[in-house]
Amino acid sequence: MEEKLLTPLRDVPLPPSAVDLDRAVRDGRRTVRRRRVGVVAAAGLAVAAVLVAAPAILERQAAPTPATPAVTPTPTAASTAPMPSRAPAAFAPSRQYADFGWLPDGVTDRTVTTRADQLALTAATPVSPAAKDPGLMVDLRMVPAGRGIALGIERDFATSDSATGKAGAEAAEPVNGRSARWNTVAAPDPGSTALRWEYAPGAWAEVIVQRAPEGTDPRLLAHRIAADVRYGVDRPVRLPARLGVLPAGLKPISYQVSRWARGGWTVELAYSAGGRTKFGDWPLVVLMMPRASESGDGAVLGDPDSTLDGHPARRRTAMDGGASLQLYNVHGLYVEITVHDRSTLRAFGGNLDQLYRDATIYPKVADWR
Amino acid sequence: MRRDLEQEYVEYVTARLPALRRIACQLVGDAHRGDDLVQAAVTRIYVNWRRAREADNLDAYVRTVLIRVFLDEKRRLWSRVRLVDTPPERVPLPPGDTVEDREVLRAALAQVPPRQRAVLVLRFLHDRPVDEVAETLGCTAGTVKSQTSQGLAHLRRLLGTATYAITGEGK
Repeated sequence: MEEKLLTPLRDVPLPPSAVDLDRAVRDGRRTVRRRRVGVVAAAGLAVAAVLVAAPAILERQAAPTPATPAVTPTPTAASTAPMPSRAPAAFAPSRQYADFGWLPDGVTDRTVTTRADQLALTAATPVSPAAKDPGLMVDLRMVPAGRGIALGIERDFATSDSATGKAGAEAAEPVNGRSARWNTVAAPDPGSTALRWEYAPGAWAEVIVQRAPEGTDPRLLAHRIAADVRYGVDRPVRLPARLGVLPAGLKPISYQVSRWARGGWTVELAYSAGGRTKFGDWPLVVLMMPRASESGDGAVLGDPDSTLDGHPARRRTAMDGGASLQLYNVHGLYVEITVHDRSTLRAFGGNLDQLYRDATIYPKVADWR
Repeated sequence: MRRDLEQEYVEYVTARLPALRRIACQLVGDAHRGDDLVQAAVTRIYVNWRRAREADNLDAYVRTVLIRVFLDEKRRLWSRVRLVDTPPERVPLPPGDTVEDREVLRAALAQVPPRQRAVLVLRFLHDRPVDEVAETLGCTAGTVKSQTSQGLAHLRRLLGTATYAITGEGK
């Protein structure tokens, strides 16, 4: 019997626990605080974000040609980006506030993850089947004014306390004249480093370099990348889908777009009327990626068991009261629409088919809106 | 969170930690990565403790959060794995080895697709009934049964049918 087959794994002795309950409580408290502040701030500050960001954008446009700062230690001559005089009070989830400037060759895969309270960009070396290690990766983490960046590398890194931008780190050379610190918690490994700086008064950014090439000083690399970050680009995040009218209250909360130099991408769009569900999910999540197969993969994706407008489909309900609609080969894309709670599903009339039908899909990257 | 609620959370999680660590270790095949999974799950549970403690079956709720964190992580990895188009490696099975070889079995289980693995772990290592596993994974009891069957078949292929025959589907 299978019970017997798996029995050897049933009572395997475990090593001493590395689970840190105190840390869970600390991280949990931070998240709770952040959400409380976020819910209050999100409604009122979206408009303020645009108003506050405007002077920064104007300043950037009016700035003279960047000059190399004498204080910036760089492996080679670097340009420097204009620094904003003020940071937004919140980011717009549908727009990208900042971007990388200079980056070393080879880090051509890109991910942008937006939220009102944080922005994360990643530039990574393409994954190679032959490579033993993933290669150089650079993260840029930013928070709007009044927030801090957690010392660890958690995905939800924005903290409600801007003082955390100063704590637990050692002094570093300024970045374009702005106060900077090394964060030794986020990058403890050789070849890695994390540099955070106050890109505008009360607003912090951080570059994390991981797996710097041998012979490259990761701190020099981080400094050069940091010095050339572009602020106030305020670029709309282009997407492969435009949804129809959403039920009242549902708004974009987070967009995550990954594109790989060798081809391929994934897009994950999250919407909410406020907070997360009781299981910690965003109420509405749309996932898309190029995938022409009309069946599951035997792993994460199940096999379709029905159709919707001629596309193979799979529909599931969940214990959280939500439901998922999975569509295969929609013009060469896999599309997954998931609602994670009962009330949101009810707002869609108990069925996600119409949400899909009301969406406009742009399979070609060149057509994204 | 109020101090009494926080105390309640700490006491509850402390008591359940060994069981959670065991599930996580069985899911990912490695105690250290398992602890990372548990760390993420208990943090999420803290954030939602006020509502979690009102669940009809708190243990099932907590297992569900753990499984979701596990599947979320696998999904994120999945999108990158597809890019390199490399089929998963098979578990090298030394000749003469036995099914009691824990490490071989652990390595084989780690290569069973995530949802099927979760089903096998919850059903056969933690004796959870089909209906509860279905609720945890957000699917029907029929899907749990088919995932069980597929998971066992996958495990059988990895271990080698000649040596390790499987005779049934379990309870």
